[in-house]
Amino acid sequence: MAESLESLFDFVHMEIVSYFLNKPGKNIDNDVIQNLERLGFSVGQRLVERFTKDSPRFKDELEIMKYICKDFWTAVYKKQIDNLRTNHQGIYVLQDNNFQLLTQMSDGKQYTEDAPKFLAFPSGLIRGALFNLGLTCSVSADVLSMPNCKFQIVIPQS
Amino acid sequence: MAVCVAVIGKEVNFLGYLAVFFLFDEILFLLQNYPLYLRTVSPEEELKFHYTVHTSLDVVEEKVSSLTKSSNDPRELYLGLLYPTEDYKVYGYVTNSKIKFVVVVESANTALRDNEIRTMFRKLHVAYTDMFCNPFYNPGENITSRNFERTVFEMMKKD
Amino acid sequence: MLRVDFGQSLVDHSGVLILVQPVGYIGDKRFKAIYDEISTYRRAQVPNTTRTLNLRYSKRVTPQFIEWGNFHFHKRVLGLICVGRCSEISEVGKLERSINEIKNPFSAILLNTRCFVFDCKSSDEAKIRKDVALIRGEDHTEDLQSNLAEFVASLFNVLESKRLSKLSEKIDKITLIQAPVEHEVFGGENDNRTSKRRSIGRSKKYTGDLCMLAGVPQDALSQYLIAGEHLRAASDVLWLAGALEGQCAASVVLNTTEIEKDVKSLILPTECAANSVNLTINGLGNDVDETKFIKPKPLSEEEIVERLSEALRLYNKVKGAAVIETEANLKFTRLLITCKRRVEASIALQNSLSVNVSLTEQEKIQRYSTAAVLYDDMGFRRKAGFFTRVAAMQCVSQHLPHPLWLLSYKFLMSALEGYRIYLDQKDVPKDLPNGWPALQIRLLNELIYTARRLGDPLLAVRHVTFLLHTVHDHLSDEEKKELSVLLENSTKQCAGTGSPKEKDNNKMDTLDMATIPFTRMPLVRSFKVHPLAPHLKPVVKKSLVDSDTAPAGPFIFSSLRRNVKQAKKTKNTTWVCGDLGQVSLDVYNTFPFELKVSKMILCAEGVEFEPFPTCLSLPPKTGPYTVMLLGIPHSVGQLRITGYTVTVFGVESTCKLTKENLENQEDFPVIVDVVPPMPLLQVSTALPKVRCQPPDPDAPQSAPLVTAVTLYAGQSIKGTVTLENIGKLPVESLDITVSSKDGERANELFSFDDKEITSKLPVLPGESTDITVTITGAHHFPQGTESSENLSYDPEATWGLTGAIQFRYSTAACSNNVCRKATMAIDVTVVPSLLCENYQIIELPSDRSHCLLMFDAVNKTSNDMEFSFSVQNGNEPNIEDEVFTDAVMNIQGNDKNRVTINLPRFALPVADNHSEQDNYSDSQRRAEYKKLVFDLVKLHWNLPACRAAGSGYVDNLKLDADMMQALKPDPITFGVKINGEVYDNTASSEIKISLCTIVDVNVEVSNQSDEPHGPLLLTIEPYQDQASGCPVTELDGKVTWTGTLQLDTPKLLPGKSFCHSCSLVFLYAGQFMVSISCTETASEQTGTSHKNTASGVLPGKDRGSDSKMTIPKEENLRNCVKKSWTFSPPIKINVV
Repeated sequence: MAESLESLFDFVHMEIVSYFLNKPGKNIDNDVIQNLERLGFSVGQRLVERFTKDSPRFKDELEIMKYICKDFWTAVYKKQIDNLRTNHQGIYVLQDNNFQLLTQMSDGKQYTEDAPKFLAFPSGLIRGALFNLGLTCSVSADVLSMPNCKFQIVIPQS
Repeated sequence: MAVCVAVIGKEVNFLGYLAVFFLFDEILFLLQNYPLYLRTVSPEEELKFHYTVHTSLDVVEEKVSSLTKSSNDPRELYLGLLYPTEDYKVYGYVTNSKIKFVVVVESANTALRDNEIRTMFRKLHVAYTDMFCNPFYNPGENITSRNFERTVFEMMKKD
Repeated sequence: MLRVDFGQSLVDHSGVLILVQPVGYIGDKRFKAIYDEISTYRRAQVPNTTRTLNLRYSKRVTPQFIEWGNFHFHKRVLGLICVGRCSEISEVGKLERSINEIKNPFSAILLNTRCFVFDCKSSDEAKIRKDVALIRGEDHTEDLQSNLAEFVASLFNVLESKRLSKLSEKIDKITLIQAPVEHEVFGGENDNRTSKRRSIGRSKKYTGDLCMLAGVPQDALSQYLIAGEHLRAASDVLWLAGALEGQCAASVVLNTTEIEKDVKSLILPTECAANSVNLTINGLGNDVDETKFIKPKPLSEEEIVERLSEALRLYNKVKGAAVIETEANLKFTRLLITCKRRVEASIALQNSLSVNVSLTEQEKIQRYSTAAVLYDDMGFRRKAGFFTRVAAMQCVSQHLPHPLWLLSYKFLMSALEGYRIYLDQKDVPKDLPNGWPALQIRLLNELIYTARRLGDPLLAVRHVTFLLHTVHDHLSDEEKKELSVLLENSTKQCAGTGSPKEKDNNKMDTLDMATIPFTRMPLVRSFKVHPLAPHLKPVVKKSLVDSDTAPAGPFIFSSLRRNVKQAKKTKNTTWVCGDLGQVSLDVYNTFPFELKVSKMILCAEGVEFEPFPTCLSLPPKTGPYTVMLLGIPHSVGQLRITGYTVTVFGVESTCKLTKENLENQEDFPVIVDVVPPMPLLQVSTALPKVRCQPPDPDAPQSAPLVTAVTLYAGQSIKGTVTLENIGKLPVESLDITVSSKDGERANELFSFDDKEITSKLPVLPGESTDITVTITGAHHFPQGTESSENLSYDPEATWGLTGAIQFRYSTAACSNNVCRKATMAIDVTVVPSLLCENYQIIELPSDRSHCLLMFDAVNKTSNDMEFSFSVQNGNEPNIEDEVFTDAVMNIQGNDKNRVTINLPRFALPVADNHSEQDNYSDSQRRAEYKKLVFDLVKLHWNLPACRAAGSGYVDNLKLDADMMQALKPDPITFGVKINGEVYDNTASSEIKISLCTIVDVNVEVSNQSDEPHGPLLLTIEPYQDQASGCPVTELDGKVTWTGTLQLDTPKLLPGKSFCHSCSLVFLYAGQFMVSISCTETASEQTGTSHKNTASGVLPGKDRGSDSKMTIPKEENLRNCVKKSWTFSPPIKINVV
């Protein structure tokens, strides 16, 4: 059952990506990515509102980040982030060695070009979650080789 | 029970946001510390409670910042009594998404214990979350959900 | 000070209160300056000790203030300083009465009085009273200081002596001190012991107060502690609380080690040095072990808070102690703020406010404003705002005899921040809803009301506009309408009182009112800079655009980033200095009332810019209205449009342009390039104008003149174009180009004489000049190679196009950069006239240097046509040897005539460095030939009936292979010399030679073509012509020869030649012929075996051996000869 739910999310996500790609009208890659990102942003906000209903108050930025890596990631992708790094000045790098939404694509570099389209929604998800937790930031995603990917979060320091 | 229930929106670091995105449309709806919802038992007193709730935000901010600093505290979302006035007691609660709930009860109502207030806030939070996740609500808008309203009326019911 | 001192803190318990009052005529300003100077001396150092006195000054103390002076000694006025001025000593006496008047209410408690008299000239001090001090000198600082020190020393001496006497007071002499609220007499009889302790306790508290003031907080603390013990035992609630307060105050003073830096300290004169003998503290009964209170440790923060809270609880129990309770609460609040215990502080403050104390209106204002300040101190901005507002309301309370509108207004203004209203929105992102609209609207409404009550309609207007602007979304239409009525009334009032600027009165200055940009009044969208009209628009020359990318702009960017930016940013619009520029924008009125914008202008920076104001009146809730804002740039450079200024309801407001205002967000920032001033030309023509329909509906001004011309094909006419300079600068460069949307052939139709144009320049302002345009009716044939043959076109059809003649002009100075262009459109219709068809080219066997061109000349007109032609010498085009046919041919309307033209044959010029690759392809060769023929043959026609004449061309000639063969000269030519003399077979008929003489035949074979030929077989064959006409080649014995008569040569390259010589001896007399021929063969062996495929192998492709143009003179087909050339006619030799 769990697996089928997981697949459901995977497949719906694929369909969303292709829907945006094939939408009539002019579809510059950039627009597609932006739309997907915004979609993720909305979803992220709502998700985190629900997920954090029973969590204690977060102490600081790092604690929020840890929450994203553990609880949030597990809830969405059934696993934790493999590696979290930070410079303690607002930059965080989240590394997932086996990112769920990329596992369906063949390994290596064959589809690296298309990866951004599949990482836009997850990036937006992170940004929306962090935004609703009070952190405004930008999120960019990067694939070195499938299905290993990194999300870089930059929180502007004021 | 409660004589006034209010939900206040979050405060976003706008300049930081603009520095990153240059986008207005995405955040325009996010009002700074904006009253998303306010109900009182007697509507004619609404303005008074607007002032009460508005000024209570000072205490909320102070409590949140002092509570997060001291790491030993159980970091509850419930902030407890914000301040008592002659006639009322004002209680506060802040969600992780920085949404503030304020409940005002009459000081005369001594039957209300801290625990009951806490339960009241939990209910309110659940109702808010459900409301937030409904597809017709956009974050930052005034709350018009019937379900939410029902919960609030429940809280304000005299018993 | 009022009855309640709202500004008190615990430290003030150690402050010696001195009242400073003006006497006589000193003037407010002067007094204030002196007061400020005096009040900088906040400390006094007692010499030879570590004791310092704290000094407090006040300008006003109501007698009610000292009501509690018995309870808290620091609430007494201890010293009085009067400040006056006199020019003569004698006048001092006059001040006395007023001094006494001030003194009287406090006479019971004042320790000393002094009057500082300024500006007194005489120095006779003997005459003046002891309590008057003359302060002299231009710089009175020093004098003031010493006098002040002396005065403070006197106060100290009294205090010190009081303290000492109190300390040594005998127990039985102690009397009960009473606070103002304690009116009932304690039943001393029935509880003597308790009442005794009460007396002792109160006395100790009193001693403690004295110690505090006298600068010995340590002693004070111990006295307070002892007092506390006694009073607790006696359950004297009020005084116990006072003692507790004292303990806290003493501890706070002891705990504050750091001394404020900017506080000036007085050094008291040495004679006042306390004879501080260490007094043995008087034992007051043995109920309390006083020894443990000697040198006590100051209380910790926690203890202070605790005891003060207790004191507050106690005060609360006492009836009538509200004043003290309120003060204590405020002290507590201040203490908690310094401890950064903000939440507790807020509760203490709130308690102070809830103390039920009867206050005067003045006190109420003070109470709330103090609360506001304190809330602000603890960072509770909203609370602060709330109480500032309450204070403002209090200022205009009905109970006040004169409502303090100005003060109220000031309070309201400072309350704005608490509600997150920023009148100056510089730092706040635009249009962000911020805060609590319901409360904001209320506050702003109050502000408007107050402003109106202040009698400053302009201020009200500003606030109304602000309100409308900022909380626009939260106002109902009803409210907006009400506001608009208010606005209108206020504006009328403004107008009545003169222009707003002049009315800038003091109130406005003091309030420092910043205006907010009225970006919603009206709402501006689709902001767009218009380029100049096409005929005014400067055109940047291409070469400059290319080089423009290289030089650095005014900013230093990394090359990478700059490129990206350039790619993004579309080209700026260009305006011309001195010419009107236009910006269009859409305005919306979102308000439910008519919006009158009395002035709207553009704001720009970068270059001098003269904007023209526009006036708008927008009906309620409408839009968009497109508005044009105009302005003239007056200098060259980059004009940056920063925004616009609107004047609405008499308020001027400058709105910055943001991306939201623009039509295309990428256009931000809005920059216009302003180029130097340019001349302006008006173009007109004398050619007939037929219709005025603009050629391009999108740009109706692009071709203001529509001129139409109809021509016969080949006809050409001349027209005059008049250029009039209607600008202010001379036209010094002019460049004319012709283009057409319909095709690229406009250049064939129009031509100008460059020399004529240059001779007409410059065209000065106001002058005009004519230039000639030649319009030629070109034939409507597709150009180019024969590959275009397939294009379907009808040579007989009428065709035409609209030619656009562009005049690019500018001054000499900027001719390299930019120019203006004027365009004139001329519709040209070309009607067919002469058409040539059915071409044929045949060789002339008699004349090998010429061929015949034949075609039908068709008269496509309905009139009779006179036709003639001429041929130019194609090989030597420089020589003008045109040959006209003598007769002019007449062709009737719609009829045709066959024309035959003798055409010289010619070869294509051979390139010097010839190589195989340079060979023309077949189609190229044809095109080349066609062109040459076209150039060679000129046709002329004349239609006398129409008075039209023109030329025609054989431009629709199609060359096929045969025609080519005929056109080209023979590739192989023979040069023959007989006996060393050149033999011309066309001229000389025959050579006579004697029998048996040797005839030397020298043949030079040249390849004249541009192709290599060979291998070649040269054959020289003598023969005899019989009467039957059959050549007899079997001349056995009749002729003998030396050398070979047949010669094989290898390939002969173009332009090369070879020679062959042989000798013939004719042995019989008679007529002989010698034929010389040259045959191109394949090599003999292979040639035979490839008989059938030879044509495929040999170069020349379609020049098959079955072509009828091949010269088949040579009958010998032994080797499947491809081609042969004969020297014809043959050499005739008459042997005699």
